Amino acid sequence: MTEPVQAPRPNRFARLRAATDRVPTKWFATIGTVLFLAATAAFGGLNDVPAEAKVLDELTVGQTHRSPQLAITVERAVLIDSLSGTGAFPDEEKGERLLVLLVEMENRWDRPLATFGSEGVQRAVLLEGDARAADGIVREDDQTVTPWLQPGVPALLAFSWVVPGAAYADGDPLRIVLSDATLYQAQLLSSGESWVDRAPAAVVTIPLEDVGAGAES
Amino acid sequence: MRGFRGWLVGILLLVAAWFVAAATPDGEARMTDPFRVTASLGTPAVGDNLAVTVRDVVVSDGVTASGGWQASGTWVVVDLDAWTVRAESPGAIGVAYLVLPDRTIAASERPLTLDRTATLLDSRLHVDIPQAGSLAFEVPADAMTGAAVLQIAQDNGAGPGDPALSLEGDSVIELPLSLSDLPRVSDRALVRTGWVSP
Amino acid sequence: MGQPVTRAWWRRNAVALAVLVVLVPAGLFALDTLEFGTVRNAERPVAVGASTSIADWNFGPVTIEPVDAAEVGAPSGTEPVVVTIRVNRGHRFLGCQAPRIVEPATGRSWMSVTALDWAPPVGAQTTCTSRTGIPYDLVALVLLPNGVGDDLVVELSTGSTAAGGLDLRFAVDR
Repeated sequence: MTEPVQAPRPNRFARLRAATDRVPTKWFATIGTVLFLAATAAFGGLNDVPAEAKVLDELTVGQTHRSPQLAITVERAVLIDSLSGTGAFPDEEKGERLLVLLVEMENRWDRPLATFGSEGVQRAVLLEGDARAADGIVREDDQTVTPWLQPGVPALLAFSWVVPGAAYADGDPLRIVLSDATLYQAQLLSSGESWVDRAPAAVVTIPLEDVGAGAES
Repeated sequence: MRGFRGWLVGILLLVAAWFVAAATPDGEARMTDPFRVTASLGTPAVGDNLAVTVRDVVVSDGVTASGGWQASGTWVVVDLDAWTVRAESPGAIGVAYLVLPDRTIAASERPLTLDRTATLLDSRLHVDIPQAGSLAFEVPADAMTGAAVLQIAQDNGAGPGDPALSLEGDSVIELPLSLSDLPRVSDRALVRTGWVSP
Repeated sequence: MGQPVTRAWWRRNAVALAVLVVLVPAGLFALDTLEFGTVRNAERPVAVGASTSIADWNFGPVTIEPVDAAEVGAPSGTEPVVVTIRVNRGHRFLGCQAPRIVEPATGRSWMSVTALDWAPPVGAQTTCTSRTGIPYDLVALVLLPNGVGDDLVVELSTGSTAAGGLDLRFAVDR
């Protein structure tokens, strides 16, 4: 800063060129990679390669599957023409019927859980081989649609899927996949906790009851 | 600056920086933390836009509401008057929590299944025209001991899930409660949302 | 290292100092006036009894008239009023929201209510949509608490693809 400046322009460029000559460009790739890996390690590492498909617990009716987020007990599975209040609407003309699961669910977390939305628990109960979440999820007692699960308060829910009538028959051993999620603590600029990485953890085999047009709700 | 003066300025700046750092809130009190307004039973509590007067808090072993809805279980029922003080948009109690010692319960939306005015949850409130109504919290049967906090706020867009997200950036009205001191009844009817003085 | 060095310091850093002198007050001004995080429509004030045009639509004049509280089922301690805005509609599309009443003195605002026992008078409607080109009255019932002053503003949010959002603020003397 206190050097005398004689001919401004040529001197500045010359100094700039001399300075850039000293930058070790060929080290950039190495430095960059090391920094990237260090930062990745600091934030928890690169994603794991998915492990071998884990063996799923085999459960039957009335057995409870517990995960840190939920306790799930599948009570009953029925095939019915249609049922008002389930939130699912089969098209009779297309031969569609409803597959309804009665599931007792308890929120084992310490905060309310939704049964809808991107982080809802609707994907915790799926039909084997079908990636669709239930078309309708309601409380069995007051038909509240897509209810909130309060922590520690069990609720009997009806999960309903619109299915082709011919695809299922009375007595079929229905296999239901229960999936668990892990609690993720948001870091840095975001806040709050959420449940992510839902993966199958148990299978419930339950005989399907065909109740025809149904007389009970 | 060289020599003595440079060092002096540098040290003074460091000291100033220390004061600034000490004054900066850290940990819990971050930029988006809600602004808390403490309420007491029977007196109005005014937040940024929402205002309430909590009239009564009881624990009941069953609840009924207008429209014919009813439920069993353990419920904490809060009767309150609510209004807004500035604008009618968002202008509603969008989230309400009962913070228990080991878990947080959100106000139940179940009574609204048969009548949208069965509880004050999501009811449209008016500026300086109070309405009376109730909020109902479905709680585990064994949770009725210890200290709790009732939190009432507008919906900030995040919905009544994780309180850390749904209470960000707005004011929240808080009423401390002692669960074991609450009156216990066997049944309770929720107050249907309506004018305080018709 | 005495006087001569001090003078040279000011001169050497003249550009930076000039930038500071401009930016610091500008920064303070920006922090004070800019409303970060809020998106608001542009506003257009309209004088008492006047009308205003947006594209080929014309809005105004605007009046606020009291209605009988018992007739509409309003609770005690309130004054229900009807806001009437004369609308001459044009051919281009223009959407609008229900009108609101704003009290500039306190910053309070009230929206139209639907829960009371009231229907628009004949020839009036509560929305901006209209199939014909016949002028009509845009009306809304607003429930005000007792004690609201007479110096009010009726705010109407309009929107068109051409002009974007525009809030008309009609000064009213009720």
